[in-house]
Amino acid sequence: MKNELENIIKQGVARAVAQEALREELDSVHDELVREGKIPQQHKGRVIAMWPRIAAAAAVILLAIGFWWMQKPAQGTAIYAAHFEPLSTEVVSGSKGAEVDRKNGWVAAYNQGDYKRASEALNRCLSRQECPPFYNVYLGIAYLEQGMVEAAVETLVPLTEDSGLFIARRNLARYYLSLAYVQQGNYALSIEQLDAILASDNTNNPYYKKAKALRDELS
Amino acid sequence: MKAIYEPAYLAILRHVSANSGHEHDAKDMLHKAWEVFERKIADPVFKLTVPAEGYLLGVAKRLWLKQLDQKRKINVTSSEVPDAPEEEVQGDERENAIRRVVELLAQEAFQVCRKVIINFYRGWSMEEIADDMGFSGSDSAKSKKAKCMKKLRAICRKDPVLLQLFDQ
Repeated sequence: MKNELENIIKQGVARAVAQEALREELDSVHDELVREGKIPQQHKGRVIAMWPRIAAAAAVILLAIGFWWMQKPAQGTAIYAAHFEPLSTEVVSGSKGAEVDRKNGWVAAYNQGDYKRASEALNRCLSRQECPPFYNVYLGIAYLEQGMVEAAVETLVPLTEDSGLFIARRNLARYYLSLAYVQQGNYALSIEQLDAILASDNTNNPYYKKAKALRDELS
Repeated sequence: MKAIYEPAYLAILRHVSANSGHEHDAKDMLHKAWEVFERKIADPVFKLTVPAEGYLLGVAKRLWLKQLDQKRKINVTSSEVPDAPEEEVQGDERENAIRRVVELLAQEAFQVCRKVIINFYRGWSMEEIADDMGFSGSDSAKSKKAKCMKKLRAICRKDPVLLQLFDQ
């Protein structure tokens, strides 16, 4: 029985390893299809069952009343898509933490567009204080690209405040925070961040031009 | 993979949503069904007689109904059970024992050990495991891995489900 149990344990472990690899692959396919808009994004709430059609019809009427509110974020999403460009990891390559970055894997995941894995790795790295606080900008971007706008705002806001970052880097955080606000349809807060960039930044900085273009569109 | 995933997920989502489920349940059922599918297609005797997405839907439906039944959310009568490969969900004794080991590995209290064991068998070096888990070094990771395997063996030897399967 002992040998048989040992074999079963080995096979169980091998099965768990294979399942883990398959799950990661399926998660990545799932996220990709969500990003492409081919399958719906996962919500925390319950999916509406088929039977309460009358309740659904009432909800449609309420939605129609609040339609103009819906326009803003939808429009915001389009503006976001037109202006978003991921921050290059070149900004931090060759820094002291380059070896940590390589082992941690966030750079590879981020550059492959696997933002879920990138945010997990960045969270791990930041919580252990192995990565500099500036990397929160990449974490914020990773959240934005996963549609986790509130998490992006929470991550980016501290960097735009008295974060001890150089102004140029603080302005990078401001730019992505302004995009997060655009996603939320909160243009006033977005403009506030953009104005701060335009007031402080060097006009040769590419993010000055990006901020200017976005500011002009929001005006 | 994407070409199969998309229609299978949407079909499972419709079914699960109509039966007290959420989107995350649909995703979970599809992933579990896919695990069954991967095992089956590795078997040379197995012949797929329906489209892959239909097969996945069938397995996912049965898994979902089984889960609902376990949670006693609804009473499922046999007439409501759709056509699906029953053997994929039931399995033989050996298969059940392997599944039980996988379940024991997935237990909440075993998560640190699970990660160490899985990453080791995925070919990570002890340095990488130590780095990922925040251990002090490769020796510490090596010792943790040995302890975890010992713990897993001990849990398995005492597990009533495995004992019952071996008694038969």
